[in-house]
Formats: sequence, C-alpha cells, structure tokens
Amino acid sequence: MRSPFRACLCAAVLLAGSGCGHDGDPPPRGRLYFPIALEQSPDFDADGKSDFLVVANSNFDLRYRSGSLQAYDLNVLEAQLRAHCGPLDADERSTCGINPEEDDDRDDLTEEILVVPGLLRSEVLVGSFADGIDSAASGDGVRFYLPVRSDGDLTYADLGADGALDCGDTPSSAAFDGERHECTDDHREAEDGAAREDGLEVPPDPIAVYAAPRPTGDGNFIVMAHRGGRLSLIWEPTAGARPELVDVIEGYPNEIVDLQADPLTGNLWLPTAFETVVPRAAVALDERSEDSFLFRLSDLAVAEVDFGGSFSDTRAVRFDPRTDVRRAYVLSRRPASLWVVDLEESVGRLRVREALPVGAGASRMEVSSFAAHGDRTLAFVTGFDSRELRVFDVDSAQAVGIVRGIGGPFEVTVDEARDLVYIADFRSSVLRVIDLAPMFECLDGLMDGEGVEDQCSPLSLGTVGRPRAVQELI
Amino acid sequence: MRAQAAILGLLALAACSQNNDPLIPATFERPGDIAFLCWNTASSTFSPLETCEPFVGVDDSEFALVGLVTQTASGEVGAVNFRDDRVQDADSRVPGFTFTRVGEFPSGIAVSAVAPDRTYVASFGARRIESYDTRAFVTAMSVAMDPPTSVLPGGPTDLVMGPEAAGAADAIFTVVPEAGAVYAIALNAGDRTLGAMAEYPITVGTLEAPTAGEATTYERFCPDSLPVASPDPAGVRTAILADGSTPEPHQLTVVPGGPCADPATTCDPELLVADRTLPLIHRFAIGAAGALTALEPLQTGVPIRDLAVSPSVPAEFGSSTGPWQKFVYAIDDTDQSVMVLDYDAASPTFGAVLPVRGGEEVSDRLRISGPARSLDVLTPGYEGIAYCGATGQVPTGDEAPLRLRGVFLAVGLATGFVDVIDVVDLDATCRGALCGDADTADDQDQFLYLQRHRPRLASFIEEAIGIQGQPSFLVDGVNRPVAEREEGYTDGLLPFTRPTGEAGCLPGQGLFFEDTVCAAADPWALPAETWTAEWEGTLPQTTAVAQWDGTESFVVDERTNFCEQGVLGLANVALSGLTEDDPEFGYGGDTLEILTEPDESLRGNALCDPFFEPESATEERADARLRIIRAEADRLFIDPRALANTAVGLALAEGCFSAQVGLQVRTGDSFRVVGSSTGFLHRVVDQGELCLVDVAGQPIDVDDPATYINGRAFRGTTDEGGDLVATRPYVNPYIAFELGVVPVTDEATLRLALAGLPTLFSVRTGSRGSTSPVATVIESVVYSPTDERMYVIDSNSSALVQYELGEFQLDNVFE
Repeated sequence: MRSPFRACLCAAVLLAGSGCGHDGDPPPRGRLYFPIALEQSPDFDADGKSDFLVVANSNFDLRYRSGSLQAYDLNVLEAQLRAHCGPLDADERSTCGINPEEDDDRDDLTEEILVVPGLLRSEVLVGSFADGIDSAASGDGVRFYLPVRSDGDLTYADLGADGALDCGDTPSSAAFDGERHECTDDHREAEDGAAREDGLEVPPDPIAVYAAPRPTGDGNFIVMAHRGGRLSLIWEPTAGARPELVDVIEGYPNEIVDLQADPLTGNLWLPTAFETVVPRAAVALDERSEDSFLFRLSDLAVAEVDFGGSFSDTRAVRFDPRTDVRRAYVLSRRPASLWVVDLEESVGRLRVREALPVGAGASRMEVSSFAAHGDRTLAFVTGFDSRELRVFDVDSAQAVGIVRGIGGPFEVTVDEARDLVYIADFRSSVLRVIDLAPMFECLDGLMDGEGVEDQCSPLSLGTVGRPRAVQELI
Repeated sequence: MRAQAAILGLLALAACSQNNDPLIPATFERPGDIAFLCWNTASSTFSPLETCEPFVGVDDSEFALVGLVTQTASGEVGAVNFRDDRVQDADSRVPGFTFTRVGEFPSGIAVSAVAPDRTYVASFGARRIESYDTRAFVTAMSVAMDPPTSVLPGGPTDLVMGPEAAGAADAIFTVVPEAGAVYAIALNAGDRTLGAMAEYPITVGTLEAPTAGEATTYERFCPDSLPVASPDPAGVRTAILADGSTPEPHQLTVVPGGPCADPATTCDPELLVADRTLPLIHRFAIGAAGALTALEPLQTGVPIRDLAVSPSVPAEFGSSTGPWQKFVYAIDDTDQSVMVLDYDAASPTFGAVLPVRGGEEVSDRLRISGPARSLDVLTPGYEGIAYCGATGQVPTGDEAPLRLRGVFLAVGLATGFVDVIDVVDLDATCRGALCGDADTADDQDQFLYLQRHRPRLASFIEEAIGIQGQPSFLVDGVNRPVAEREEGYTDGLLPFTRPTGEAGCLPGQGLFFEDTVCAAADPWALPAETWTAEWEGTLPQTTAVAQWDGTESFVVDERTNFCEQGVLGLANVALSGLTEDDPEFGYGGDTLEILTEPDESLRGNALCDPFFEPESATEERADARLRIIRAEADRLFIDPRALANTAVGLALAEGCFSAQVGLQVRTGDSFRVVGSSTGFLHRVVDQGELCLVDVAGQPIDVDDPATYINGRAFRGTTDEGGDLVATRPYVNPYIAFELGVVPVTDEATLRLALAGLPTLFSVRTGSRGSTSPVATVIESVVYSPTDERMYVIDSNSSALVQYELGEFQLDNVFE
C-alpha cells in the first residue's frame, strides 16, 4: 500500500539512515494521527457483527517518536454515533463526532464532539510509517500484521476477545487499563529462521502485507511487498509463534502498491504504479520452511484500456467475494477508472469488461456482498483528491451512490452487518463513518415502488477522533 | 494493432495548423451523454436543429449549435457553444465554471430536434426523469426543475426522444434494467412537460439461435483481381452463445423509418432495446403518444451492450437507385465485439447475423482493434447519395482516405481509439487508378480496397501489400540466409511449398520476400505484428508450481490447465488420431523445464551442483529439461527411464529438488511460433483431463490456411550425411514459411515483422495536438448530423472531443 503523500521529509530521513523512530514524545493517548490502515476484528461474541476496528496510525510527519495501533469497540462506536449524530441533518453530521475519553486534551474539542468512555479498548505503540494491515485467526483470537517502514520489518500484535492488543508487553488476557505499551522487539521483526542459512534477510521498506492461514499445519503465512521490487515470505511455525522469514524473491517493479490473493487459486496480484502490467506471485507452502518458497508467475498485461501509451497506474485489487463469480476489480488512476476483470479469460492479459469512471486520486476500495439486501455486491472507492466515496453496483456496472466532502479519504473498510463504512481520513486524522442504511432504504424500498428520494447515496453519520487539518500538524 | 502513424501524423498536423482556441481549464466532471439544440443567441430562444445547419462555421451568426453534456460525477448538465467554441458558464456570479444541477448520476439527456424548449434528463441516482426549461442550461437564468411526475422503480439507464419525422415527438422513452421494463412518458401538449407514464415490461419468449445472412456484394477493388477472401456465411455462428433468463433492458434506439430499407416504402417507427442479459434485441412499434407494441425480437445469440442503425444504403457499389439494405450494428456484451444484423423487413434474411470478416473460421464479427464500448453511424454528405463523378458531383480533387463522405460506422474502443468501418463511400468512384475508370486525385492512389463492413483504410496504397523489411533468422548467434541464397542451399528459410507439395501459397495468401514467406493478402486479415519462431521456446502461461510425485509425474494445482495452453506429450500426439495432413503429426512432445534450484543444503552434491545458478556469468546452469510423455490438464508425466539416463533425471531421483518445484513447458525439437498480438495458436483441448488435438472439432482443410491453428514449426529432416530429405511447411491463418536444415545447437530465432501494411482508419482520441497522449475512457461516440461532426465523450480526461469529418481532423477539445 502506498501512502497518499510522498513526503520528502520522511524520504530524506529514511535515506539518511537515521530511521523514523527517534527519541521524543510518544503520540498523545487516544489520538488518531495520520490513520493509514483499517481492519475489522472477527465476531468474538457471536452476535453476527465484528467487535473491534483496529486502526494503524502512521505518524506520517514524525512529530512523535512512534506510531500507534488502536482497537475501537464497534458496538460503542455505532451506538454513540447514532445517538449523538444520527438525529442531526445530513449537513450537520459532517462536523459531529465522538472522541475517546483517553484523549484527555479537551481544550480544542468542539461542542459537536462527544467524549465517550469505552470507545477505545486498547492502544499500543508501533514504529512510524506503518503502511498497511492484514489479519488472520490465531488461536482463540486474531493476529494483526503490519509492514512498518521505519522498522523495515513486520510488526505483529494479537487481539483478544476483550479488545486488548498484545504486542509483547501486555499479557493477552489483561483488559485495557489505560496504559499503553510499546511493541517489543520480537514483535517488530520476523525471526531469521532457516532463511538465514541461505543468506536471506527481510528486505527494507515493506509497503504491503497479506496474511492467511497455512493450508497445512498451524499458524499463518505472511507475504510482504517491499519497495525495490522484492517480496518476502514469512510464516509461523506453529499457531501463535513468532513469525520467521522463509524466502525472498526480487525482480518485481519498484512501485508495488497493493497485495491481494485470488481466493480460488491463491495467486497474489500486485497492482503497481508506473507499469504496463499487473505482476503476480505464487506461494508454495510445504510442511517444512526449507521447502517453501515464493514464485513469480506471469504478469498480466494491461492491454484493453487506454493509459495514454506510457504506463498504467493500478492502486488496488479486490476479488469478488461470491464463490460463484470469478471477477476481480482493479482500481486504476490512469485512466481513472474501476476495472471489472473477467478472471477466467485473463490469460496473459487483463480481460477488462468494464471501466467505470472514478474520482481523481482514486486510492483504495473494498468490495462487499450484502446478504441482507438481496445479495447486492457493491464496490466502495475512495478518491483522495476528489474527496469522495463512490459506491458501485458491480453487477450492473453502475455508480449507485456518492458521498462528497470527505477531507482526505484513503483506506476504507465495510461493516456489512451494521451497514456502515469506515474511512480513514488521512488529511484530517479522523475516521469517517458512513451510514449505508439510507442508500439501502432507497435501493431496496424503490424496488417495491414505495417512493423516491432525491438520491440513493449513503450519508455521513459522523466522525471518530479530533479533526485536524494537515496544515496545523506540520 | 495497426500502426497509427499516418492518421496520428495527420491529426497532429491538423491540430497544429488550425487556429484552435486555447484549452479551457477543466470544468467537466466525468461527462457521459450529449444532446444538441439550436440556440438563437439574439433572442435567447431555441429553434429546430435544422435551422442551425446553414450557419455551421459562421462565427457571426445569431444561431449557435449547442451541446448539453451530462456530468455524471457532479450531477450536473453543462452547455457547450459550438459557434463560439466555448463552455457556457451557467452562473457568472459564482467564481469558476458553474453548471446546472440535476439529479444525481444523470444517465441520459434528450432534447427535441423540433421543439427544443424543454430538456429531459434521466437521473439514475434520483430514480426519475426530469424536465427543465432549456434556458436553465444555456442562459444564466435560474429555472427550477419542472415538478417530477414520473416515479420509476429503479435507476433509468437511457433516455431517447420519440420519432420526429412527422413533427415534434409526443413522447420520450426510458428504461430501467432492474425492473426489466421500458417506459413511455407522454409529453403534454403546449408546454411539453412530462405527462402520463406507461410501463412496458419485457416478456421473455422463446430464445432462438441467430441465423446467418448473406455476404455483402458492395465492394470495389482496384485492380479487381486482388485476392481478398470474402466473408463466408458458413462462418456465422448460429447458436446461442450466452444464455440468460431475466431481462435487463438498458439501452434504447429509436428508428424513425423502422425496418424499411427501400426509401420508397413506409414502416412504422420502431424502438430497439438492447438487453445486457438476454441474447436478443427487443423491438417495439411506436404508436401515437408513445404507445408501444411488442414485436418479434432480433435473435443475436448474445446480450448486447450498445447498438446503432444505418440509414437505407444501396446494396451495390455505385448504385443510388436500389436495391437497398439496412443494418443494425450491435456490441456483443460477452466479448465487446461488433456484429451486424440485417434490418430490412422485406429481406428474406431479416434479423440474420451477417458475415463480415474474411479469411477466418468465424466471420460474424467486425474486425476492430480493441474491445468496443460505444458506436454510432456517421452520414456526412449522404443526402441524395451522389457518387463522385456522377451528374452534379464533380470531383474536387480532395477525394482521399481521410475524407469521409457517405455512411460509416464509428466504434469507440476501450483502448481509446475510434475505428471507422466503411458502409458506403461516395467518393470511391474517384479512387484507385488501377481500376482504370477513376479520376484519382493523387498519384499514390493506385490500389483500392473497399468492401462494406470492413475497416476503412486510412492511407493511399501505391504498391501491392507485402511484407517489408528483412526477416531476421539468428541461429546460434549467426545470421542465416533468408533470401538471395546460393544455389543448392538447404538451411534457413526455403522457397515455400504447400503442405500438399504444390509450389506457392495456400489460397488467400500471397508470396513475399523472395518466395519464402506467405502472408494473407487481405489487408484486413493481417494484423500488424511480429511473428517470432523460437527454437524450443516456452509455451505461454505454462509457468507453474508443481509437486513431484517421486516416480513419474509433476502435479500442479487443479486450477492450472495445461491443455488450455496447448501442451502435448508424445502419447497425447499418438492418442489424438492425427493424419499426415495434421501439422502436429509425428511430434515427439513438449518438454518441461525445472526452474528452481536444488535445496541449498545439497550444494556440494555432484548430482545437484550443476543445477544451481552459476556464480560466473560465463557459465550456464545445466539443462533441466525432461521430455513430456503424457500431458493431462493438471499433471505432466515424464519417461521414468529419464531418471536414470539424464542428468536432470538423476538429480531428481537423488532428491536434489524439493518436492515442490517451479517449472515451465517448452516445445521439443521444434520452433515455438507466436504472434505479438495473436499469441500462441493451438488446437489442444481438455478431453477427460487428457490433452488431445481437437481433430474432430477443428479439422484441417489443406486449402484453407484459417484452419491451421498451429504454433509449432519443424525444421527439415536430414539423412545421415546431413542432406535435406524432407521438409514440413509451417502454416497458420496469417503467415506461412518453410524451414530447411537449421542446424541449431543452442538458440535460434526467426523474426518476421509485418510492416508497411495499409494504415487502418483508427483515431487515437487521447492525442490532442502537440502534447503527449492522455489516458481515456470512451463513454460515447456521437454523430451530429447538423454540423456533420463526430463527438467523443471521454470520462477520464473529462473531455468532449470534436472531429471534422469532411477533411478528417481534430477540431476542438472541450474540458
């Protein structure tokens, strides 16, 4: 995943070798600070809804000595936002929000921001410049994996059913007591393992991560993409063990932006800026790490769209969640469009069936199926420069909704059970919570001929966090 | 794709030489559709479109042709004044450009050509049809939307005016895919606001397979002896290729004259409805106040993305009095190809799919250079059907490929190009000096290729089509002769003989380059590409991770299918039931090559060491190939004896390699032939998981190169003395050649670059003058008969691109 700003500041710091972790103050407690990645937890309490939203804050301007990883209670988040902001008009909701009580600096909180206890369940400190997040089941809980550029390695943290993040310094059974812990070293780098004998090391500058359970044995495997065109394979020898490096391959394009696996074949797709192909990789996993490796598959040429004759610029890929639909969705900035790709016919080249216009600076997307709404499958696309969220019906290839006026929308995750969308607003360092219910009421209700609204778009419900413009922070 | 040098150069020159207005800062937001109207700027009133016709290009006229363009991202409609070449600011009080707000995601816009005082907008987001006083878009006047009266059960995806041949339309039509219905909305007399709405659900009858029509006879070749393969009706697929059960109508086209090709006859106007699920085009007869009567649909065999209808056109070249034809052009939504249907109710083949491509097995799709997104019919100068040189139509001296006068189909592609297809060329009677009867304007205009529904050629053809340049044939680093050989040579390329032994090429292919290479002589059948024959080259898409079973086979993930990639083992060839006419006959099978290194812990093992990548650049890794005995969809069998008598087999038996290896498949003792755009050709199919040559389904016809779907070329065989004793000509639908001895020990590559072919008329819409091309997403291609221009709506650069057709050039870009 690529950060939205290519800050000369951090690049210079990284190149100077001084790293991006330095002595100084930790980030304020309970504060969102350049949120860069989102991931929902599993449904621990079996109520049909995910329990926590885990947010990685990147500390993008290096104002503090670390970034952070936070776990928000989604039940509290939804209830408080609906109660506090829900009754307001649509226009007023954009400035309405909630903030964790752990953020004890109340001086510049506006009246529209409600301080909420129990919203932030736990928080740990990680390296600066986390550039993605993924998760996989681990024991009774879930483990989150982050590529952290300042560490040049993989950070992992466990989340239990109580919402406590265990990053090596906190027993996993302890409830969040307001204390924050810094991830220990063994949670901030993969073990060398047998790969050391081959002279392999985790390459620097990890920018994307994918994690999944190993097909045989316990534990998960993780693949990271690195700037400079390398991939690393890391795995856990047993469930809950410390991950260790298995393999590294190179020769990929420098600007890999995303990393996703085809759910049917397991092949990894690597959308890449400044290329005319979508590279791919395969993971060969054996019971022994020595016999496991990464493997480069043939690239898929970008041939059926017009990128102006120079290079394409793909930013994200998602695969249709339905098992009987073999489609992929590729988000492109050049041309600015969402491609609907036929996987069965994509041999050697992407078979693009549709190219749907998106906003400027298209950054991230999610594709979700909504069983409660007639199995509608929708794609949610953020446009960082156009400051909007667009919603597409992927079956009819139509835009069905748009939410404008979002400060700096980047990462997005969809909560199907709650009909909510969470967007990391990188510019304002808040989470934007979008309510899909008005859209579904329109889409579902109209099919029964019950009436018409002016539009069938989602509506902003409110924000989480303390909105701050970038100019204030630098 | 064809080289676009000529057309691009001309466009670039035109753009530079023209005194274009400077580009206006971007104001559009993902434009989608356009409607035209005629605006009297002096009185600020609107006139019928035909009023503007005489004043096109007159800068000081009071009449201005205006385009209303939907902005899908912002939910607005913007106006473009084509007289002044500028975008209209709807409210000058607001800084920057302001457009008029309409419903969210406008999906269609319609304005009457006769009574344009009202504008109608389909709003997908608001699920309704809206009507506005047209002044709301063109002047700074703030006018509210008319009260909405039409509640739709879903988002409309298109909007069209009713027929206006007999006066202003009395209804408009829209379509809602989710509801599976078409809607007719009457227009109130007087103010033409929206009236009553009637719903017409699409009913699904019996789906039938399409029928095959006849090939066209509209053609002109200069000289008339040119070996061009005619489209074969037998190549029209008469089967339902994509089935569906729930109608999802989504695009509308009104045909004012209905399915009457003969202008002397009268047919009721019809509404044609494209369906993106069902394999047919729905038809309705349009009655008073938009009343629709369902008719028998056109059976297309595939769902349709977009369609357009031609005017009545003469069936024969040079005729202006009939017989007549009429066509529906439709984009196949399964693969974005374009088909042509007979749309003459008086024709015995009404509704049939026509053969439109020659020299290939499948003939029922137009040859276009990419996936189609939109299309429209262009009719510049078609009034009166006056051929060049006929009475009253004196040659002007400008008759040329880039001068469009007649009927043409413009197809907007996903690649950002617009391909132009010939239907009627009124200037062709003055083209092609080799016809002898033409008064050609240019000395280079010697050869002429014109056939209905073929891509228009964009350049004069002074010499016969041929392969130009020097084929390169490198064998172990040494150039092998491909021409001007000494007498008695037996290596390199030989003079071509047909597989049946006769000299010369197969029918439809011409002999080039010192009689060594055959290529399709049909300028439309031969894509410009480079053909590469590589000794024991890799079969594309065969790189995979495989599991060694320890004894005789490599197993890949079940989702990998070697048969689909054309892999053949020795046993597969034997089991395919081939005869000597089959090019694969006697083939010894492909090889698999192990790509991964042995486990590092085995370095030092004498059997394993050769298969590590050498540290020195001058050394090479040992040959890690094994002959494939039998290929199945997900498994490759080797000869177990190789485990004892080959170096790699011994290494495999030793356990040098992990259980999982990376591998790829190569051809064995043969050249792998691939085209840079065509790819690797093969007839291999998966039959019960065994890869077999599809002899029954794809038989070889020794007189038809289109049946030689083959990607392996074999060198000549020699006796013990090294003398050539037999050869095996290589043939595919595009090229053919014959290899001699070719004593390769390491590497050999033959390259044939097909260049110098006539340029096809294909416009790169991202080329906007002197700047580098921009990326595009073509939303619509629209022809405006008022100013006889083509407009392309590009949503990526948010631009409306305007092209002059008389002397084809880029006129303006509105953003």
